[in-house]
Amino acid sequence: MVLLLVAIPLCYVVMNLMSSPAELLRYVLAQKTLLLAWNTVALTFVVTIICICIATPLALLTIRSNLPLKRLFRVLLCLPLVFPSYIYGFLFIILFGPKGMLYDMLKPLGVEQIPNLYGFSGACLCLSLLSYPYIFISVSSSLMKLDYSYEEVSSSLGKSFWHTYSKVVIPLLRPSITVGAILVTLYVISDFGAVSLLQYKSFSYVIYNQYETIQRSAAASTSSILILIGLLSIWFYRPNSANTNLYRSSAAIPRSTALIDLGQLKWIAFITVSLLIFISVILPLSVLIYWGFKFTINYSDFFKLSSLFNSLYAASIGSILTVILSIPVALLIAKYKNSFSQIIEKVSYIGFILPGIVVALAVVYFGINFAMPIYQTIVLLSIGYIILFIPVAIGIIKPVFLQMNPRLEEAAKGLGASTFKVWQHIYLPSMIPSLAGAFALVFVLIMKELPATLILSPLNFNTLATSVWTHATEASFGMAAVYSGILLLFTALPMFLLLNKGIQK
Amino acid sequence: MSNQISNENFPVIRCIGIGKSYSGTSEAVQNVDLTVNHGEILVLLGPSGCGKTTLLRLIAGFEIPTNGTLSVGGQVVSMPGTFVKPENRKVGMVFQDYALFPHLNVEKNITFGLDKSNSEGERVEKIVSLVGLHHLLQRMPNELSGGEQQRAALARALVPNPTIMLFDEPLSNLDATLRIKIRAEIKEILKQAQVTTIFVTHDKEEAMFLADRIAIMNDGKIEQIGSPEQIYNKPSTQFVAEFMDPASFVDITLEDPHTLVTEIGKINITDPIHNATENLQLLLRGNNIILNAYHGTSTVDSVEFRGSHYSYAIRLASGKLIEYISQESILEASQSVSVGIDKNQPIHLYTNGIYRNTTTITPSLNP
Repeated sequence: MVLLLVAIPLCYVVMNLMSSPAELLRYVLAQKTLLLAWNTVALTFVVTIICICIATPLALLTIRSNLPLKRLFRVLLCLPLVFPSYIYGFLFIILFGPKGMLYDMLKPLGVEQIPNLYGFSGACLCLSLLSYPYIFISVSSSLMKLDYSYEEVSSSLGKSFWHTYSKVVIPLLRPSITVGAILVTLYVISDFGAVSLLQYKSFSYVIYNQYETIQRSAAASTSSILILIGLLSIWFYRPNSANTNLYRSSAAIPRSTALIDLGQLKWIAFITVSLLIFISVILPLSVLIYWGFKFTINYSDFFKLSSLFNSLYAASIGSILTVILSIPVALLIAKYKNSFSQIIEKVSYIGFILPGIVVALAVVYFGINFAMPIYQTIVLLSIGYIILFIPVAIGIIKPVFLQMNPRLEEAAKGLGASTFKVWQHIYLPSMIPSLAGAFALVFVLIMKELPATLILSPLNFNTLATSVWTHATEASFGMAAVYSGILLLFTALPMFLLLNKGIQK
Repeated sequence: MSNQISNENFPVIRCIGIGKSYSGTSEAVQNVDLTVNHGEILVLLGPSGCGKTTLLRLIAGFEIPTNGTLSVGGQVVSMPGTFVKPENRKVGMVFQDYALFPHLNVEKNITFGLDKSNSEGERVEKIVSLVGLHHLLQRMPNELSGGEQQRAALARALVPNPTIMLFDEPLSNLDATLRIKIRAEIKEILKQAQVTTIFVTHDKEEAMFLADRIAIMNDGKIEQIGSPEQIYNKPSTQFVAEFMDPASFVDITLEDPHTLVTEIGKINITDPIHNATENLQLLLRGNNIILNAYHGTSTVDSVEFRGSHYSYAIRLASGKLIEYISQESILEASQSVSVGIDKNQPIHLYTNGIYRNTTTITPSLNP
């Protein structure tokens, strides 16, 4: 059943392709579509490259050099991940927009015009600052595991620092750079909030507009192309990620070797990293707090508490259902290795690759055609959440089943315990930490989720995320800031704790 | 320069008063003086944590000494105020876990240390055939067995023609049979290449096989340097004696300058001892002990079968344990015996655990 649910988006796309291939082809080849595709690919490519160029040196600096305060930096540099892109997007508009705070500051100095934030450059800046932590975290964790002896061998063979890093360390980090880059690529392709607010015509922005203006079939066709781009980008990374198993576990006692001495560059690096953190985290956060307070003082009665309750309600139902449904799937994947379970595993990851907006459209289509009674109810919204976030839950729960020693069950059965007892006393207790972890993460992700919530939620069902969105698009930034503040309060802290746990692993 | 005097014994590695302390109190290496001559294999031997790997890494330049002067190939590479980076030292290093670059094939690993412009095809060819890796050049490191990885790492270190070679326990990850085979290969390759070598290990058998000289390290200090025979036969300290082979130290009192009294008998020695106030001990190993009778004041504490011989732990009346070795199973646990000192072997005398002298026993006297 889970399989069927999860397969809804795939069926949707396939049915679309089948129903009118000729029309689709004409649509795909239309100049407008090609331009759209080009926009999406260009943005994704440039953001991914920028992220690699920012994150890799940052990881090297904060792990292998004598940069001051590097431990603190390591934590702070992951922080942009807690921002949903739509909040980040409107904060950037407040800051750097045509009539933004930067403009106000520069105006007395005689500056008439600042570079236009809307369009490619804004979306690019915003998404780069938001998503470089994916690569930073992935590269950092493998850099910590990377044995110093490779560097030592290289230098004992007479090779300079630069030669060692370019020919040995960076190539060894390539698998982890690739993993991070895949995440960034998927993030950018499926991003909806930032590109829409910054009015960059990439696929998700256009799909939403088509949906809003009731061009259903056009939206469907556009979705299909977006999915195609997503799959192509995954395929593009394939050969690189083939040999990821490059690390050996060293038997030798780990020895700390002299860190890279930055010398005179130390303070330049320190200031650069601080500046990056200032722009990417501290500045948006302080703007949020400033606008939020300024607004609350003046118009406190405008705030609707119902959106907070709606958010918590939807997130609770969605995350509980997602976690419960992920248990049998995870069990199946971990315990029974056959072609059927492998298909299930692949299919269950669809939600991870597909943009939220595409999943939402597929679920709407399903609701209208096959399940009218649940259309525009919390049930349909939950189905959307399940499809989107079940891969996350499976990813957390699967390792528990993999690590569980099958001898345990055999031993328990040997002692005369029933299957029910085995579950009650052996499986469940050892699963509780990861079930809780999965629940927390999915809960937070649902709270933050925007496009699916926007499309699938019942009429007049406003959540924090949709409220932020509505107010931000109507340029009532104060209101948006208040909702954002509350949303961040509920999501950022758990997100941050989960992240830190992940980094330590 | 080196061609003109290559037949002489001149020092290639010289450590004078080398010390390394880490922030805090621990001193990993203390005041080490060490000289290794051209073409010599010196083995640093000691228990884990004794500082031998740290000393090796100081010589390689991976760590900076706190004090002392270090020279390699006649050039000072480290002294207070001077530090030559590892990449400028011409030092070949082989690690315990080989550290072959996993993203490069064997050939690219081996030639990694050459400059691009450098055409040293002949030398590479020679070394590849020396280590016997011709058929594996295109393989990736993870497709090689442990022994093959070891040979590739050795070849990689040898190709840039290093002044010295350093080995950090390179055989400890191999199984016993392979270890014996590879160590013979390494010795032959090093002797053919005539390269000055320091080899770190905690395996005394390996050390005795490979070494021209052994330096025994304990607690950051070198306890003794000498040929394997000197180290084994005349250990200069109690630590060295016990590290090399099970050994016991039995207290001695002097009856007269020629007569030593121990709890397992009196012996007459050829070199008289005149200073009677010394706190003297006698080194006893399994091969110094003879069996006198199947009854007496000592008891057999335990019996171990070691394949080629039996090892008996004998508890003397004073409670001290000594080892007795026999090829036959002649004693049982907890039976009483009487043991004595073999008068055909030279004996080694110690003062407060420090080697004093070796002397022979006058055979005339009976206990």
